[in-house]
Amino acid sequence: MTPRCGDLEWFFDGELAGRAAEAMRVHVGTCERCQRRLHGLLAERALLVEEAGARVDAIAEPAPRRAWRLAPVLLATALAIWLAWPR
Amino acid sequence: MIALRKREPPAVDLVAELRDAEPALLATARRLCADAAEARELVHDVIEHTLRQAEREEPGDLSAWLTAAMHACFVERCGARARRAAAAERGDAGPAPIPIERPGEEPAWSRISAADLRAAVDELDPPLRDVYVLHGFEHHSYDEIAARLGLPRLTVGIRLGRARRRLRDILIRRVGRADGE
Repeated sequence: MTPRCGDLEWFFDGELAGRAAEAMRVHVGTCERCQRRLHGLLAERALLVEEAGARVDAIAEPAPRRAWRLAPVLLATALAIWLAWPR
Repeated sequence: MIALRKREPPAVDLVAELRDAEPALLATARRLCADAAEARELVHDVIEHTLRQAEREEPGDLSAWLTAAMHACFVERCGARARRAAAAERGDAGPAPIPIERPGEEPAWSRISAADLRAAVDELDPPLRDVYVLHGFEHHSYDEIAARLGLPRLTVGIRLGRARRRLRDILIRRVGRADGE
């Protein structure tokens, strides 16, 4: 492990800038350990993207429930119209 | 006479899924690359790599495929950088490229779901969990987390590293050995 290996997560998280980030890219090109760890970080990121997608789906989900809450009101309105309708 | 095997075009579903995945791929590429133009090139390489793979084998877990492709394409670029840097320094061709591992079967981490990750995060000690949630789920920078939690920036980086190692241990315990450290 070289001193640069310790910076991989900082690099991946966008916390290294300019020359430090470029030096890390060069280092990744020759360090098998960092290449393996980078695979793990990319996998973690993919899971976080998936998790964020699941959260968005969960937020979008409750809409049908609101419609169900309106059902008794709509039914009562329909019944009132039917009873009041002149025959 | 040798019959040329006609290449099947990629399934429409795969093309549509790749289009959907493109913004997330670009966001990841922006973390890795020096500028926006290089990030776009990397995403282009990743998509091409994935489409080529789809011609050879049945699509598996697309997320795992894309992660492997992003890794392979980025490491290839880094290798080229390292060779150029060595050549410029020593006036020779530089170190030989490291062959990139292209596993035939899906890696163990592809069996981990987003729900597994969420559950594992809940098992972290609060100081590690707070930093990880702010960074991983709420997308705050180290500086923002440092300001919010009243910690030095270095401590944020250290805690995040510890949280990741702990998460890895928890997830390995659940699904078996994962690739990548």
